[in-house]
Amino acid sequence: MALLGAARPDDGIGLFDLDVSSLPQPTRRARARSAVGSLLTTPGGTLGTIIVLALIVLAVFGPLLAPYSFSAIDVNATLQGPSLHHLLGTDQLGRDLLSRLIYGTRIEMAVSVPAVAFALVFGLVLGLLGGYLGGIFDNAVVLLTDTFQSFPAIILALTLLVVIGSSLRNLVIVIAVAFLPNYARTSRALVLSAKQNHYVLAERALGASRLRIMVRHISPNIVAPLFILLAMDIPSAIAVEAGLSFLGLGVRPPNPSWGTVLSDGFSSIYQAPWAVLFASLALAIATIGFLMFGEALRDVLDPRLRGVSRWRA
Amino acid sequence: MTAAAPSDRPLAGAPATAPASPLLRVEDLRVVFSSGGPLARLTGSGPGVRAVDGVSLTVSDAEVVGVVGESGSGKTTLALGTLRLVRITSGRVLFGGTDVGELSGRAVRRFRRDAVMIFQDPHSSLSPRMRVSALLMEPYVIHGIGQDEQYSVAELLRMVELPERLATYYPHELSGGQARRVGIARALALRPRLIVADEPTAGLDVSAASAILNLLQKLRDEHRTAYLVITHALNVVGYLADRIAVMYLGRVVETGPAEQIYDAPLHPYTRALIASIPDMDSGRAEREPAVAGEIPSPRNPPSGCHFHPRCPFAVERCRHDDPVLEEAQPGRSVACLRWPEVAAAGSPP
Amino acid sequence: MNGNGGPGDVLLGIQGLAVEYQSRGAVLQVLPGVDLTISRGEVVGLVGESGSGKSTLALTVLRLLPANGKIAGGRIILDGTTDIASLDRERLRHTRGEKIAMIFQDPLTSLNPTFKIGHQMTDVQAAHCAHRVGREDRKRFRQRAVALLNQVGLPDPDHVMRCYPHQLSGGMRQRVMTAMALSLEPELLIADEPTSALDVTTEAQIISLLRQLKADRDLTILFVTHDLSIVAQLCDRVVVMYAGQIMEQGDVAEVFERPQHPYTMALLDAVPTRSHRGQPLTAIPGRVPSLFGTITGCRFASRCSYVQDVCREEEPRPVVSGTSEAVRCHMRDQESDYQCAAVPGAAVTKAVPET
Repeated sequence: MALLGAARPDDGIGLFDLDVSSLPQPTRRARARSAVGSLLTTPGGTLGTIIVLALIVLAVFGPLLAPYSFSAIDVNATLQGPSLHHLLGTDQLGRDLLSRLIYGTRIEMAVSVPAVAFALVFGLVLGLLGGYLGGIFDNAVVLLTDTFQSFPAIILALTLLVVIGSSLRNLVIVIAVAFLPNYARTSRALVLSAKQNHYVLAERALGASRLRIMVRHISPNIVAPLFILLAMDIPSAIAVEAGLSFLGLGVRPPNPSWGTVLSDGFSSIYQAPWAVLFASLALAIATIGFLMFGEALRDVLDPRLRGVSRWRA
Repeated sequence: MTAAAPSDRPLAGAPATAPASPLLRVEDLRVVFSSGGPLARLTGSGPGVRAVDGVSLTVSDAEVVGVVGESGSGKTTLALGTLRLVRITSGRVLFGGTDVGELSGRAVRRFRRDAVMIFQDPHSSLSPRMRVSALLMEPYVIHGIGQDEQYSVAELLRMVELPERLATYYPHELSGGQARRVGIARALALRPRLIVADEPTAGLDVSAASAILNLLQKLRDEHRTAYLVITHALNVVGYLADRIAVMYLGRVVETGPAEQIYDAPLHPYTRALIASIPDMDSGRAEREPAVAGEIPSPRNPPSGCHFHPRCPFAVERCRHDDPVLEEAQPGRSVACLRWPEVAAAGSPP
Repeated sequence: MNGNGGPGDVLLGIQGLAVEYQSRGAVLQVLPGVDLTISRGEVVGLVGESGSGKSTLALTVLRLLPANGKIAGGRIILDGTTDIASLDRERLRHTRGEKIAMIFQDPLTSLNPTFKIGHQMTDVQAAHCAHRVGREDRKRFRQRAVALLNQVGLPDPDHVMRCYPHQLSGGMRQRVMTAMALSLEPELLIADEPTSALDVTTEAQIISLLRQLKADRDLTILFVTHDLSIVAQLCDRVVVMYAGQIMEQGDVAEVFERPQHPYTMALLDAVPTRSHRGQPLTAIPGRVPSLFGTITGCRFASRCSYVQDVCREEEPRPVVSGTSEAVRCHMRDQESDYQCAAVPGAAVTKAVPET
């Protein structure tokens, strides 16, 4: 679905048979530019996009931007408040909070994004198999997802981690498994509805194999809502990871997951609340940012969801 | 035009009369959508919609057969069943002599090359995220057809009278008529022997409809393909078809050459259908609507002859007896025991 | 019938009506300035292809344009007194239904699926009741509804009153919608392609119904359609629209017998019938011009078989030609240098089988 450019049939005018092909065709670049532009039309969208971009920049260029190393201990400067040397203060070991949070961004991104991405990909596959092939496959997928979804995400993740041991890689796996059922179910529902479209029948009539239909025709038309889900799930994944790290089951110290920073700062919350404050703030900003970005993304990819009223009262 | 057609494909002849072995033969086809449980589904009994209730017809090489019916007649289901796109409850479909239902694997794919379909809604039958050029080449990719046997994108567009620049467009950027032509081009790409066209002019203005009909006629003349045209518009079949089959509530009620059906219909429903066409020439002369009532729901068809509640020629027997499609005159079959009276009644007003 | 004036008077006078749509930043001039009069008791057929603006015109009369459309100019004079285009909300509400009523193409989506028919029919009357509705009123409304359902040919009105829209067939729904439209005794009924979604046999019944209603109630009807044959059956006058402009109008029999405008001629010629078997049909080449830009000259020029240079430069003005009025064609303009008497209003090749 090209996003913008030619007059769309649901303009409420019935222009379908007019010569819209005489309009200049938007180039790929123009389409992309206008897509990005639409993200910035609302204040929420702009804010969300900025935050997401900032987080990505921090994650990628963290080591270059952080004033200190995340493990630089300075016994003389413990539990300090914000100052010129330490913009956000220090923790109980004198480590710069700002730097730890910046490095933490890398960890959050490195865990949550791949985890949710894997959940999307495998969930998409399962949804395709169940939704399109139906029968036993569908029953299996539904059974599987129902079972896994009955566990709260963090309990599931916790249990799995205890079993397979905690490491960065395992964190990603565990979070992916926790989020997988949702993608599988959503994808399955989308596939079931996409299956009804005439173009699927048309492809079958041309002799396309089921695999081809699933990959070439159904998948492209259902990924959009899944991507939106991904954008909205990343903060949840971050929260799960932070929770696990808070409980000590996440990344090993001195790696500064935001959850670790939180848990470290917890014991000194009365004397020096800075760690808890700023770590929580980081979590909150990331959550808000991704949620707003996700909403703007949804508006861009599927304006019909907005429910614009067609008729004037 | 690119190189010669593959050697294993028989040349399509153009016999004037129905030959011994027609290209397509549908034998007593039944498609029942059952709403009962799995057992009912297996046995075909229980409540359900008898979308196609015992239809037999034939299409010969290079022949155009029109299937006419209003809503609920089962004509679209018939088309889908013929092409194995919907599950058949009973009956056989023979294509080129082979039972289509028995095919598997590679043979099914081969069948799909030879018998293609053009769909009613042009936009929804084109995959929305593929450009026209990809859509046109898709049939070749699916069947692994090499370049020397392909039509190029430019050739296909030219065949359906579309400008070449449309190749980079997405389906939603095309008008209804253009999208329909792309659908036709896709069907033609495989050089099929049979094209099933479902409502080729639905939703089009008079002018656009005429253009499409002209195109179909031209393509038929050039490529000698057989057509099975499904429509509710009598004027479409009147123009295109060699033979017509009229359907009502899942059954064929009359078949015969197009001209003869128009001039002298033998079934009361056909007669009513023809009489109902708003006619430019009769002007504002007062005309009683040819038939009262409405088409009953296919879920609950009337007993005996399905048309009897609305039929001006109905007698008591019509309520009990299921009329069988029999040859009444040479080349014409009708499923009505009152057909001599209908014939005597003359042309519809 | 609440109206002043007798048959033959002008009921609706549309003067210079201009309608625009906003579409993605561009402004579409769907109707540049339309003039049309409808007299009492007339059945006017508004004919055109899709994109001709006929539906827009019909919707504009009741100011039912979508959110991105607006009236850019002109007047819609009802009964010689009120200009609908400038009415305030309240009076507009009273005009809708009471003076002018409308039926639409798809009765399934035009009726509320969650309410029974009886409820919807009494609701219409209740909404236009001047005083507070009491039980006696409701009873009266119900009786009226049943009577109306009877008049539109529904065999079991009481049963229909208790049905939901989806329980009825397409033809029945269309009859229900017609009954609803008539419940406030409007003077003008606008029908926007009411039979396009129906089977041929049902369509014939609805046409017959409209004819009967017209005779019984002296109803004025504006019938919008793309199907010329329905117009031939039902209408007294025909108005042919193309790309937002009226190209020709006049008495139906006359226009169809001796069309003056090339577009009308082409339309009549393009109707496929079986007598055309074996020959190519006359399809009008080209397509409706894009309304996104400004159009110079005659809007039909790009597709006209009689086109000349002047057609592309100057817009033809509406003239009387033969028995047709408002013919926009340089060929027919007596004061134009390009009047072409050599092309008569040809009798169209009709599909009359030789007897």
